[in-house]
Amino acid sequence: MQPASEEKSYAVGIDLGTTYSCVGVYKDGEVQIIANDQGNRTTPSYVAWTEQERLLGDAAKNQVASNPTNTVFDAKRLIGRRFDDPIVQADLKLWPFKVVSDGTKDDKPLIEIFYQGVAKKFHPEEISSMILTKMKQTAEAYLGHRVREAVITVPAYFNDAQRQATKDAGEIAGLRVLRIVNEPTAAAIAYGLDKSTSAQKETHILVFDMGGGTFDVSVLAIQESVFEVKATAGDPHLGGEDFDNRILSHCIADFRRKYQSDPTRNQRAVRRLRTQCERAKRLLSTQTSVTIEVDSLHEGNDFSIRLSRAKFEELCLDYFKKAMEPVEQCLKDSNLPQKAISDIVMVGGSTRIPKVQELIKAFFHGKELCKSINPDEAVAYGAAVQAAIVSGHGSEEVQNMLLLDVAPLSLGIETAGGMMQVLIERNSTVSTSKSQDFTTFEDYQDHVDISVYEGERAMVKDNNFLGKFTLKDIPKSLRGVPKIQVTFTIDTNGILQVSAEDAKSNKKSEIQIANEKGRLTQNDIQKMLQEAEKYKGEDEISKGDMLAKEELKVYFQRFDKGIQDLDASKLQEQDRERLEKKLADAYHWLEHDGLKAGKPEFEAKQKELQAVMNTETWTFAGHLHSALYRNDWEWRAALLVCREF
Amino acid sequence: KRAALDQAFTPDEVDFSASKAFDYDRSVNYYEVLGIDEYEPLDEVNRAYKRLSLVYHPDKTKGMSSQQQQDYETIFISVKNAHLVLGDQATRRQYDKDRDHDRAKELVSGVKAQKSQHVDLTEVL
Repeated sequence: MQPASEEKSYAVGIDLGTTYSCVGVYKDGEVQIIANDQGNRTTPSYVAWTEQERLLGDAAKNQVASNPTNTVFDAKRLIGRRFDDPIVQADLKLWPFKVVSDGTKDDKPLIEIFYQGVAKKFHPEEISSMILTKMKQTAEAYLGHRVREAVITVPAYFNDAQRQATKDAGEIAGLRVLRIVNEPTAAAIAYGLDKSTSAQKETHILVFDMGGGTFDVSVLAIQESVFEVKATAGDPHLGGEDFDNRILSHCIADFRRKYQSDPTRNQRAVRRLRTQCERAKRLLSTQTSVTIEVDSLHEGNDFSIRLSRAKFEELCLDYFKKAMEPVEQCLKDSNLPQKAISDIVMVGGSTRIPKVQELIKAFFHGKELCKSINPDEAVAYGAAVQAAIVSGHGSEEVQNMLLLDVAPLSLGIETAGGMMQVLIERNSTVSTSKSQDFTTFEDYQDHVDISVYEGERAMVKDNNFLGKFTLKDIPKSLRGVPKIQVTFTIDTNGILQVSAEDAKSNKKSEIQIANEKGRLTQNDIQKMLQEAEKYKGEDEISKGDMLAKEELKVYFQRFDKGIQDLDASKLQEQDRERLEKKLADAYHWLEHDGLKAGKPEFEAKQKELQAVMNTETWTFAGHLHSALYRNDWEWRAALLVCREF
Repeated sequence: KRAALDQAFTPDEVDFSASKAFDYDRSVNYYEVLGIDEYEPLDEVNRAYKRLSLVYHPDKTKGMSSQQQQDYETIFISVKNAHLVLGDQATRRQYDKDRDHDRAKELVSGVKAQKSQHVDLTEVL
């Protein structure tokens, strides 16, 4: 008899989707996608409260029309965001349930429902945890064992706060979250296993993952069961629901025109219409036209409209076109030519839309798309495999697999002039660690503030602030002398740790960014990326200006020092005066005209000074110039100084 | 010499002016880090990287002591950096050129190029 303590525990993979969730487990050498108590392999991410009870999944979605204000969905669109986030504010108008701010400085959103006559407030994490609980129960019912560990997927473009919040949701549901995995990466595993490529040669695939609420693109290299993510891009707020909304507003406009009355205030009517719109959208993937019919929609008026596929495509065309930008971006980041992509894997329900397929096919010059894997289940499938890899269960085949994932955004610190000095670049493989030396900006500076940012822009003010810490008690010395080593470390869960150390005193200070809440919103990331593209030219210029200016300033110091260092006996008084005057003039110029000047002016000024210096000192102090340049790295480092307190 | 072994090798002058994929340290022998020969084709570089990742990636060190886990992670990061240098044609050529330069200097002037400590994984594969 087996001892009771040797209870077998499984690690499951959960695809926690915006609209639907799915759970899978790796068992006996293969992945099982588990059907819920209704027999469905995907479960709606819905939670509802009726007079008597709390409902989850299908049960919650089925009663949504009769109970719109107490049925919560789309928690994934709220998780890890702030209430004042414009995305949240825009979504708010479309949701029948109530969302309020928690009133603290973090400004977290809370979902308010009425249960048994009392108003109750929930964090989005709690709603997600309820859905996770449901998925866990589904798995337990199938396995006949308790499930304690899980791998949960998130969109590749989720930021740190959203990942952390998703992890929290897992813990609330009583699951040990082994790993947060990116959805397209998980889908790639499903594809890779399906193909069972034992091929020695490296193949590249592109995963196009468009689901209910989010959109991701990843390029991966697969070789001998090692999956390496090359690049990732996406739109955190683009998916099937957006298309539903377009159809919905089209219908509402039509209703208004027909009956001169506005159904938008009638939550029940809107909900019923929305359900029909979603159905119509699905049907339009297989048929060319569909009729949306709702009896007695609003004020006793029946509603009926005929929607053709062409009309639907016209309504959503800008969304479809927008989806091609990340594809382009991702290919560019991966440094691969288009023809190197051997397969395009389509995942997520929205990839069934013929127009989406058509556009991506056209983008790859008519290349056939890979539809061999189930778009609804692939992510959970991959997550289940990853759960087996990480937990160490599973067969040998799985043990030989490895996933090399990347960090989606560049990370760096603020340096002189408010510039962003990137330490870890976007699409770096995790885990990773990088150090760089910095120095002080002012003479006798005894501490530095290290501000950590994420984003792609050249100036920190355009990027997202993550955290700040101070390194104190630096031995006092002239600027540019101390050597401060800043180290960034990201672990496999994408959690960032930053430390700074002064080389001389060995004083150390560090910060973990992971739990920093109220971070950047998805919208911000996307906007930042788009802006980054748009402003790339502008950034280049301003960065060049800034660097030239800093170089000139540094040259002033060296110039000044050079004059002091010159042996008085060797330098005639009038020469010294002339040099000093020249320096003063140049300094005056920098303070006044320098504000408007660009890179060419700074460089010209520096050249001018160099010329003066050269001619003056050439004859008797030939060594001076070389002395000036002796410690080349030193002044280069000075350019990257940490901003003073 | 590389061209003979690697068909995909297409040298180009642009390589030397291209931006580096990784800011390498010329005193480190990345070939030894990846445990490969200096004239190995790109495919082999990738393969070595992946094989070593299978051993040293943090996902594969479950059940070890935390000290060992940390050591393995450090090795993984150096392997990854080596792959960044050698996995990119332009960066690899710049690195090779720098090293050739150092070696030539050593031959001519007897000045030994500085060599840093690094992991040597030649034995592992």
